[in-house]
Amino acid sequence: MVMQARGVMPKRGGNVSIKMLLLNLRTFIALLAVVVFFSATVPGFLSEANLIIMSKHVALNAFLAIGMTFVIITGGIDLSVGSIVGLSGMVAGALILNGLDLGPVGYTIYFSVPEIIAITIVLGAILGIFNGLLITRLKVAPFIATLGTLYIARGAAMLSSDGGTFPNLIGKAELGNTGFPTLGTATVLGLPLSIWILIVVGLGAAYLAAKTPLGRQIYAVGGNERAAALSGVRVDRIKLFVYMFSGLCAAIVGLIIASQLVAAHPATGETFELNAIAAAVLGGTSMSGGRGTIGGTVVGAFVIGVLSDGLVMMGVSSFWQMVIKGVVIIAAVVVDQFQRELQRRAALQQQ
Amino acid sequence: MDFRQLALAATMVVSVVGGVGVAHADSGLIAIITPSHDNPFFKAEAEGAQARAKELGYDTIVMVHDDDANKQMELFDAAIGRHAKAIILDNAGADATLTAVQKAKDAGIPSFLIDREINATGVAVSQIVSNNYQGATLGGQEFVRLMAEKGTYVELVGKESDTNAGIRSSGFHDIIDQYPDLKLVARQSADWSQPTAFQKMETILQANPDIKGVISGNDTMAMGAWAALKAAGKTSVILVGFDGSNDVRDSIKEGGIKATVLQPAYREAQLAVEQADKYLKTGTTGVAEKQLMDCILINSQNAAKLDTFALK
Amino acid sequence: MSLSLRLPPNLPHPALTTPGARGSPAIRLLRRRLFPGLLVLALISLPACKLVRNAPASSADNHGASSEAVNQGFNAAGYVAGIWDQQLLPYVAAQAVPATTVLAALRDNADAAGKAYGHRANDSTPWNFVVRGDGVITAANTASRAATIDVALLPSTSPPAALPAADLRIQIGPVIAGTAVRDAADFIKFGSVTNQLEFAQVSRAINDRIRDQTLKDFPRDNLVGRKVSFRGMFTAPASGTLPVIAPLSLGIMEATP
Repeated sequence: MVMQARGVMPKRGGNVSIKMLLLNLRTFIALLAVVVFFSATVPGFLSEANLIIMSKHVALNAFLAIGMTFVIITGGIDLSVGSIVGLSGMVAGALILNGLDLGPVGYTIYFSVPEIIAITIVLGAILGIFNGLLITRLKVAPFIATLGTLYIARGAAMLSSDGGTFPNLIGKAELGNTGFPTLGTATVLGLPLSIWILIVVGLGAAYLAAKTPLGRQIYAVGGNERAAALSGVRVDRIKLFVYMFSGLCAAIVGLIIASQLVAAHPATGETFELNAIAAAVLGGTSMSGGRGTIGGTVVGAFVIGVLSDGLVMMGVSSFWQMVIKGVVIIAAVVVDQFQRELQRRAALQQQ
Repeated sequence: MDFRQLALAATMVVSVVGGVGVAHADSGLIAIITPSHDNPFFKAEAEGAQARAKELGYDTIVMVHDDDANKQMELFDAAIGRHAKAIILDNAGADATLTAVQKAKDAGIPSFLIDREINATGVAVSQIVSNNYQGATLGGQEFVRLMAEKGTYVELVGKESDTNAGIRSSGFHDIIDQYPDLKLVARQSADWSQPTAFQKMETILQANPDIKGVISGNDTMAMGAWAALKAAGKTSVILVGFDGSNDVRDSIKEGGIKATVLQPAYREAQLAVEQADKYLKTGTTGVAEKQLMDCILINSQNAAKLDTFALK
Repeated sequence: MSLSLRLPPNLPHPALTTPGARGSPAIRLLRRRLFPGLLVLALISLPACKLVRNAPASSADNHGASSEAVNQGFNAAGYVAGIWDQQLLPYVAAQAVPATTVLAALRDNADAAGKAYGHRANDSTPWNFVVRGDGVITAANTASRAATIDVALLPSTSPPAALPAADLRIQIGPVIAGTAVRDAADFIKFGSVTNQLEFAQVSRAINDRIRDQTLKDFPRDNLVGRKVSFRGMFTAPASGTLPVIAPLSLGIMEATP
């Protein structure tokens, strides 16, 4: 993609090319701006501990945003991720505390923590596949299909405990299911485990998007679905994959949050989907599909995360925080439109 | 890529936005974390704590967790990052809060809980708990008295995932259920919200036009229900709320809503700051960790004395 | 950070690297490698999970959601049964102050009375008193389920008359309201239970036991004019209202005159 982007840039008219460069790097510049701003205004903002903590906060939104980016690139949307976060946490919590009751057999299975993590992630993927099937087989519009799943998953999360919290998820030695909090609290080489997982998932997703045929096909589906289908892309499978991946990412977030809090609450993750969409858009993903990068999305997630953490540390009223967040998102899209117009003109000039 | 240009642009952005600094006083910072201020109850709480902390010479930072335990954890991180001296907290869940408070304790920051408690002792320094249950039984007793021990009634419950919704409901029922002639005809959650309560009340009235009373888990829902009852011309229905907000006080004075239960939020918040101050100066608060603050019944006799969650 | 420098693609339709491929290679890979792999993983890890025989339905397990509305882990009735004879009744016997003394002190100065005779957990809760006394029933309200009798103390503190004015009110159930007994008993501490719900359940269990034991044989008809002897607790009343006593012993002393 880097090569293609450069290829479009006109060689003459250096003024335009600088503007183009700045526009292309706008998310990164925005990140730089917020970081510099807060390090000047908030004491202790740039300390190593605070940077790590902020990255940990950002990681949660970044997971969701990565999954969301693929979905948006195909021209879809996934509103159910916040609810899947909540449900995944509840499933993990229930499996640790209560095990899986086999009903009439009269026995309860208690899984070990790695198994619980695997089950939860598979469940997230299954919910994603459910979204995908609704969209591909039953031709439900993505907005509606995932809205339905949003309600179903949230309701199921509430039902799982009658609205209560699954507390104290430390497991029991005699049941062999201790160690769940490790996921949220362990550090490797000074970095929290969740950041390492983000690095792995992020690099994997970026590689998948940029270097693999599957990645190219995802862009193709979003760019022009019919053209992609005609050129042999199995559009339905691609869509199934992106929703599955999005659900899987949501399950990872649910697990990390439940592990960090050592408790699972069914309302966890409300409105997370909107933050994920915002991060993707801020990172240059086009809502009409076909355009976007994982790197851009991760930077977008950092902009939003650093902004909200910084405003919190400054003690700005939460109502103003909302206003500022909204302004930043709108500004990002306006700049995005401006850039595309500029590109179009540059391309015309070249011809 | 032209990094000179990039650096220039970045410097420009910085010089525009980077001019402001945050002043900080010497006696230290107190972080005040509550649910969202769109409910006047929590706003009063935050303001009570803030005012007292300023009087005692502290800087304050006010944050809201929107009843999201994950966000609350992030706010604790922020408070630790700002090297707060103490945290005043109205928490986001009796079990889910434990880790956050423990984390602050490990970082050397004492927490002082107000309004809601956590299901553990020895982690926070103080837990000044609103006795929601006792308040609900007060409201329940007044409701039973007003209903003359019989008739059909509706219950509006708060957000089901919120601990206090369950506590208040069981407090109401512990009293009301002892009177077999009081019949519950509908029980619905209205998410603590005024517009939701309005809609649910309208719907319930369609199915049960002859109800005699409504008991509500908080005042915002009571206000919504009252609007629906008024619109339907059923102003003789007995309505009892919970919280002691100024809106409901005014309604009680006009003879609309019959009663509510005051949680002394403002006083609790101030008490927490006072205990934090004493703890920071002497190393002890001098009182037990868990302190239960009783609620007070507000009806037409004492409504005039109520202002911003405190009896004058 | 190297990731973040990647520029967004500018072409609306990126070229396909494998235009003619049937099905996505990744999905083929998924089918060929991942699923069998997962199966093997599941088989390997199967011994790691534990089968536990379900406990019989009667024993409430204390796992599960701590949905505070249904507090399963705490047995308040059992706790109260445990303290009733061993701690609570001896405590009342030892601590009870003549009601005439307490009421007189309350009339003088409520706060001083509290300091002299009362019990409370902290400065922001009202005083509670443990009292004993004898008196004449001046009125009975048995229409309400929260039935009460009004009692004039002997020797009467009011001027003598046919029926002296009542000094206090005693709850005779079946509904017993308030938390006076729990709050007057210093050994029942809020900090020793998990939360306010359990603390409330203690009070409720005490009140239930008052209904089922203390008041089990107390008559409900022709009460006015009879003489009673009582021991019990009350919470400091608002000025101008009668103290309302939750009795821990209550008996008729003589037959109807």
